[in-house]
Amino acid sequence: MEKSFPRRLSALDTVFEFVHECMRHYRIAEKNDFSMKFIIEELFTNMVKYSKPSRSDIFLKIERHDEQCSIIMSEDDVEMFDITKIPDADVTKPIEERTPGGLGIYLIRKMVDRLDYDYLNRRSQITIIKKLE
Amino acid sequence: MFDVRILESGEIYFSGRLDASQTEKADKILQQVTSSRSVNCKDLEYISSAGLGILLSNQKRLTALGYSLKLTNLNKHIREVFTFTGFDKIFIID
Repeated sequence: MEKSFPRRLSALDTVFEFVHECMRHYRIAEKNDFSMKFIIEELFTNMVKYSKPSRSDIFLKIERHDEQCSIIMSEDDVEMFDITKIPDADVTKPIEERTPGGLGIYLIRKMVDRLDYDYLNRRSQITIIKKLE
Repeated sequence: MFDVRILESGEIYFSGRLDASQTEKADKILQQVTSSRSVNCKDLEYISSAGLGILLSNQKRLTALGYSLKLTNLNKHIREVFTFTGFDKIFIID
């Protein structure tokens, strides 16, 4: 299933509704609900925050293939921003040295089995493969 | 849907989904806190990194004053997120 969403945080409600709809459609167990929503929200908010000049919608496609699912998110007319190159947050630092930056991508890496980034003709695409619980 | 309130007992109550579109709402209430408090998360279903960021910034502010936030009744998924990110060392979790 696939759908496009306007590039704004207030669209998150409709993004979550779509994820829920996909999970029902593909009979994905409820225990995957938190991680599916987390991964998609983090990618969506990154696109909203870091690709501001673009006015293009954000495209989301979710499919199930046996015991895993693929999540594809893409956007047009953006600069290259390869999230696979972002270093992991240091989660061992004491509170005075902690900043919230990098936690989203750090947690995505914990939750997924594969994370790929492609950039061509000002189009960014992130592909995720996640084994289902 | 996300809700945040300060109860009569002084406890802070979170419910629903604390995603990136709800952080202002959460921060507005947390910024009012100037002493150690419990945050009851029994009805909090979900939190994203944006929500973690708000909790962290308020914990840093309170720690500098000699106070802290204690989080209670975290669900399994949120507890895992706290463990993975080392937030279980930054917050008292009950």
